[in-house]
Amino acid sequence: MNKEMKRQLILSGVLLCLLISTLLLWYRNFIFHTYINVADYQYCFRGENESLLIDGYEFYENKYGAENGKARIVPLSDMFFQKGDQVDLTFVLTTSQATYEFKQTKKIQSDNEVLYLDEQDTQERLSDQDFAHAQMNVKVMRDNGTVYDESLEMKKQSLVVYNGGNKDYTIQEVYASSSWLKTGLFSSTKKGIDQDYPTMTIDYLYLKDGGQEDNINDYERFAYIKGKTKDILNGSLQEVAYYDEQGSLLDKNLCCVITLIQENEQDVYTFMIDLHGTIKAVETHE
Amino acid sequence: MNEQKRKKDFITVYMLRNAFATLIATFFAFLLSLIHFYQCTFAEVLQRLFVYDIYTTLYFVLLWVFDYLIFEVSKIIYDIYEEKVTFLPCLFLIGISIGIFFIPILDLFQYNFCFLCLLIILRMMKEMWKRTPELFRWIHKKRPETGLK
Repeated sequence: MNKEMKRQLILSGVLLCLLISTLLLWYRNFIFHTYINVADYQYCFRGENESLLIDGYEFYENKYGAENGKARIVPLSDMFFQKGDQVDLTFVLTTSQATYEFKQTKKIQSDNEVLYLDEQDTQERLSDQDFAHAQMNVKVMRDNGTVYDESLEMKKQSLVVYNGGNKDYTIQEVYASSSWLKTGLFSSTKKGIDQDYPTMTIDYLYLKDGGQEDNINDYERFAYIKGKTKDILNGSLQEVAYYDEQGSLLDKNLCCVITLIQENEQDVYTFMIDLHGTIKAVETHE
Repeated sequence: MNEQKRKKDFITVYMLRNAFATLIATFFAFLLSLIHFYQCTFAEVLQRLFVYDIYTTLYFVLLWVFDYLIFEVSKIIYDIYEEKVTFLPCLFLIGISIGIFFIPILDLFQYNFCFLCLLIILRMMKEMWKRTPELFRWIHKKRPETGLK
């Protein structure tokens, strides 16, 4: 072996050691960011006119099935909804292949009520389809007459998926648009966590304008999920929340505060996870 | 002087070729692994690899550099034992490239290692054909004339 070869071999060896240690060090991070069990599809629509604001009409599919609905309908003028009104809502979705209609009927329980639509099963296969047009037909009936019958154009929102985690716990698949957020999936590397801590809470917070990142008092809680740890680990508990403040939710720093609670509330374990976003879908129908 | 420049140019071409070959090997390993995991199309793999997440892209680059270095080290080791190399190391590498699939690690590393071993074997065979043609006597009754100094 001549000197030149020896020199090359030593240099390569040193570089290899450095590379292997970097690869090992980054392995968890890489797995976490690359191999994510994403929902089969997730879309969110929003539309408004001078009388109504419809936000968070979602279509999604995950291991539990395909669903649509769950939107919030806010009347923008006083006494738009009155007690006893019947509201017929039809979401009309036109794709390049067909037109689908999703109907719901709601009864207004009190004046100026903010309506929340139910979640219903989606029978149609919507993944890999391009949405040409979407609209919501709203019909309000009062005393056997129609007082409002209009269509709102629904725009598909750009969704950002947030992930976050520390050594033992991760929060994945938190979907958010500029005004809407769907809570994510919680997972842990620790076995038997649902027995040690039967109940838990996950609070979603955003950093207020001009707030300090390190100061927990500068964060505002706007969504939370509380329930049995087992259900949350299964992913069967997911909530949606709406962001009604100025600006876009996507410009805010988001984080989660996770509280694991022992039986009889003997011991409470709380920690924080920062959420980081990645743009998943950028196309909008504008 | 001219001879030296030509040699330098050749080394650059060889390095580029090796870099390209290892890049393809790493890319195919990622491609197979991601298609297997997400059951998605080639276009989506490209997006997942280069658009969605910077960590994935960085890890891809890291793994590529790792592959390239391993390949270069294999070249140096071959040069050291040039005269003594027989088919045994090739068989050993084939054994590794098959055996790796029985080790419970991420399939990405299994594919990557397998492709890398195949590349090293290919290069080794090429060099053996050139430098120690007597090993291929069972193919050629006569010694091939090309590649002999």
